[in-house]
Amino acid sequence: MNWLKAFNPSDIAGGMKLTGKRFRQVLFTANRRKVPMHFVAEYPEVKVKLAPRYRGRLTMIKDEQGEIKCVCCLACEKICPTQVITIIKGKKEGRKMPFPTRYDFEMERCIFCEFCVESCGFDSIILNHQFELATYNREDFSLGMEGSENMFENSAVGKFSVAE
Amino acid sequence: MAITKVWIEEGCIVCNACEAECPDVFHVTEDSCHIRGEARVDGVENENKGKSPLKDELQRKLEDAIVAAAAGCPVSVIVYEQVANAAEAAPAAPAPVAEAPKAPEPVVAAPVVEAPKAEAPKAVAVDAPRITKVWIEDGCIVCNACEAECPDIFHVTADSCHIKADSRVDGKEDENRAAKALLKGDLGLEQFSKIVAAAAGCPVNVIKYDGTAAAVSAAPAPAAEVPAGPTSWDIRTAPNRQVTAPKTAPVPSFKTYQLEVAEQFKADEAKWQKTQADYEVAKQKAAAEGKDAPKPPVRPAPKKDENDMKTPFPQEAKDADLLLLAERLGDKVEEVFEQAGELVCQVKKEAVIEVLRLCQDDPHLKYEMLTDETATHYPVGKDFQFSVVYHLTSLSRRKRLRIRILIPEGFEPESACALYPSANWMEREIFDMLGIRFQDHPGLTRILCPEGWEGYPLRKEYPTLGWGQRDIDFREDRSGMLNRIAMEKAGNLGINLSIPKAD
Amino acid sequence: MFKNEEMEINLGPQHPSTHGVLRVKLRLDGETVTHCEPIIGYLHRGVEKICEDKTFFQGQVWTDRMDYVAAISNNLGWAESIEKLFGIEVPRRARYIRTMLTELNRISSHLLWLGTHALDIGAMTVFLYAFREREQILDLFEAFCGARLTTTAFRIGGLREDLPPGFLKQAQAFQDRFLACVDEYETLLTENRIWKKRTVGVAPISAEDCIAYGVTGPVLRAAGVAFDIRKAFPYAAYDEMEFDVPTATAADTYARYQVRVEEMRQSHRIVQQCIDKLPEGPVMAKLPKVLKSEVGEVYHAIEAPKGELGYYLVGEKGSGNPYRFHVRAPSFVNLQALPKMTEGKLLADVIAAIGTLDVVLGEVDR
Repeated sequence: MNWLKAFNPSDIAGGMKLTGKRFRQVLFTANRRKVPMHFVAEYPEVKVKLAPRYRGRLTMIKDEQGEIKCVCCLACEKICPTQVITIIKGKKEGRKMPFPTRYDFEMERCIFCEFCVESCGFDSIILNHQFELATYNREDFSLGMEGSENMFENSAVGKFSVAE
Repeated sequence: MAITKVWIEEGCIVCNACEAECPDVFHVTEDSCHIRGEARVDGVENENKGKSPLKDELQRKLEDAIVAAAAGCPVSVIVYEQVANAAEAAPAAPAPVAEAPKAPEPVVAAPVVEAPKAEAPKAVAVDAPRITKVWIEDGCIVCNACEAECPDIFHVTADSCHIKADSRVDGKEDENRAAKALLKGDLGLEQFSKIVAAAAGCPVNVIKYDGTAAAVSAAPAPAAEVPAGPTSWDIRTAPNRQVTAPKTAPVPSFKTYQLEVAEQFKADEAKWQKTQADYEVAKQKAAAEGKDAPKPPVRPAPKKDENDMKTPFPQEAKDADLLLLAERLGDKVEEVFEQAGELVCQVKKEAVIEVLRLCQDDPHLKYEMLTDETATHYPVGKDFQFSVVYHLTSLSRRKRLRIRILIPEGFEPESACALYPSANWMEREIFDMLGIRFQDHPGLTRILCPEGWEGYPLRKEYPTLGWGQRDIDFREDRSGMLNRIAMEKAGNLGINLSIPKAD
Repeated sequence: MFKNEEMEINLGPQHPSTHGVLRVKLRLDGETVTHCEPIIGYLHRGVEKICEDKTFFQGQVWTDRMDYVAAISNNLGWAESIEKLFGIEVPRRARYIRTMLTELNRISSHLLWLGTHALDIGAMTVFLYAFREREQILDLFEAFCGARLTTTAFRIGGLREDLPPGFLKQAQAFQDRFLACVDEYETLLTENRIWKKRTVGVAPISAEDCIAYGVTGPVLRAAGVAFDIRKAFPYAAYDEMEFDVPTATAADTYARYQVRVEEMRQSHRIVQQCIDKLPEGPVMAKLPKVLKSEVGEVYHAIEAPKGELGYYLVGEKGSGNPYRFHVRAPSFVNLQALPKMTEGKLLADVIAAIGTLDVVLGEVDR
């Protein structure tokens, strides 16, 4: 009697029914975002909303006076699993705390684990929400504190990925 | 010229070269070279770490032989003190000094050659740098850097850094700013480098210390102006990148743990006796001088850790499986114990297949599955270089068992493939990573590394740094020059960097 | 004309159905496989060696990158093995959160398996449905720890932070609709005659062979052995959870499909219990600032989506790094059974066999 089952198309029909249901939902709804279970983001026109804890690119923070908060305790440099951070300690006029002369960040090797932010006792670095981090030149991955490659704003890295 | 003292530093490889050269002084035992008792003033036979002098009549007689032995020592652990003999040196003015062996002198502490004028041989003891007191100035920013560097001394609280109570003579825990209490015992000697590193790493430079002259001069000078130009890093000095050979062979064992505990107890007891004796002396002295008696010493209570950590130490075997194994196998079992709730059975290396077969077949054991097999390299193990562990799982009885063997370099244990086919790839991986060969293995070839790979990556002497690991700033490396320098440095570390060229 | 000639071909290393860079050397007699030899190592990065050089704390980021489909399971095994080595007791709330995230990760791993395995065999549609739910789980991971794949979710002694506000509501929203989604996958596959033709009786391996080759996980359970480490050696908060261990007896590709789908339902059940019974309290144990190990060795295994994931650690006295760090990767051991499953069968079944073993090459090569 098993061969009789071959004439019963219910198994295929069930799948076709489900596919048709979903297809209909999308086809006959004017606003696609209103479709239940709609997960497609229309990137790059519409960017997805990132979670507050999203781990993007490393950024240094300035306090209210516009002063860099970092005091060069090197905790981030020591804990970094891939050694992407290099700090050179220095002094600055009129500042009691040490001041980083150089704060180099090799984003090429960064794995965005947020250990540096966790180890920082002064809340002087965070990982921001920038996720478009592709670039054409390898040099652009080396970020520092000054020049075009500075860490305080969205840098050259990723600039061309914004829709034109 | 004469040699007054000779001693053996750490690291003897028991190669017998010195005994062949000068059998009157050196005697090579199983684990180290000793200075013979009959050659020494104090008559004890050991490595002579206490630097007891040689007997007078041997000092000149054996001079050449000792120098030759020291020069021939492959690991340069034979150290001696050499003085010019005053009586002889006078006629032969500075000539012997000039002739003093200069070229291949693999002596760790350079032999001390006194000027001919000296009247008596004098041992020059290099004053090891030592820190006597540490204190914290005002302005700590509570960054934890010092505690990470030297947790035995510094303790960072909510508002400031403190010097720990158990490291200080007065037993108080604070910044030590006013009291400037001394550090306890040899802590200043042992922790010297760590304290200096902590002081240098402090971002606000509030860690101050005082010590012997050598210590103060050994401290690094304040960093000079940092050039603003391109920076490059030396791979070999980069932290976490160096090949450091392990100093111990951490093989957990109930026997050694018991020994350690007993030794620790003995040392504590001796220390307490000494403290009490010192106190008696001080009391009598004070009584004689008519002063107030000093405070009687208090036996320090064992440290109480206020955290949720309970280190699992090895414990006596109580599990029925282990007792059964020990009973069935008799002297083939070297040790059974439990640790962290895991059953461990260390057996003789020749008998491992027999043990595995018993574990598999015995109706009371029934370990059906070999879950994992792996090995560890112990380069400083006493009579073994590797441990191979078999993790067995009994699916029906829901138990796990670890069988362990310790094997020397070159020993080929029997393959477990016939009993447990799952051992096939695991043993290939062990061979690939650690270079242990297994007898009767079907096709023991490299599995993860390519066929022509040199070396065994999981051995301790194999550097982690390898191809493509770059420690340079790419911003400045437009021509690829720095990259090439980095490659050359990697070559110095003994890494094969030859690029296979396309035909 | 009827020459009996054997042909040797390479499947992979760059082949879409090998899920990475697996090369399988096959000897064929017509369309029948006479000899099969998996060749691995193309993705070897030396995780074990690197972790010996890093501190206990830092090692976690490499576990993310072994089984990148189930990073949280890897994190859990890493954290628990180190806690076992140090004897750290983790707070109950942290254990519940870990259990919840690990089960969500099991669902997401099985969803990825379902989508790609069906795609390999020829069922295109279910891929889109499976990834739809996986997306929602990854959003939960992003909300919890800020990353979707390489999570680095746990810390030694507990968690870095408590759950973010709104996490439980988001997770409950997923829970409410997930069972209906599983029914959708089953509508598409379970009774489908093409799917059954391609899976029933394909790549069988008996329970005895599974045990001999060390195969664990759903493959072992599909052969009728109800061995689940969550039940046999409970860890995290599994001893307080109610769930069943699904088994099948057919030991073929179809049975493994059924077992995995049922496992997703059981994981759903566990997540629901975690949400309902989540206790209050701290999420981090009290630890000294600097972790220094004593001499000791531990082997701790957890039930990863692929099978038994074990970590073997050796600690050196006074050292902050593991002396030896070894990973018993489930995919590595399971892949050994591939020749047993495919020799004497058809070439097209090799694709189904690789898919049904659910290997992730990042874990095989480490």
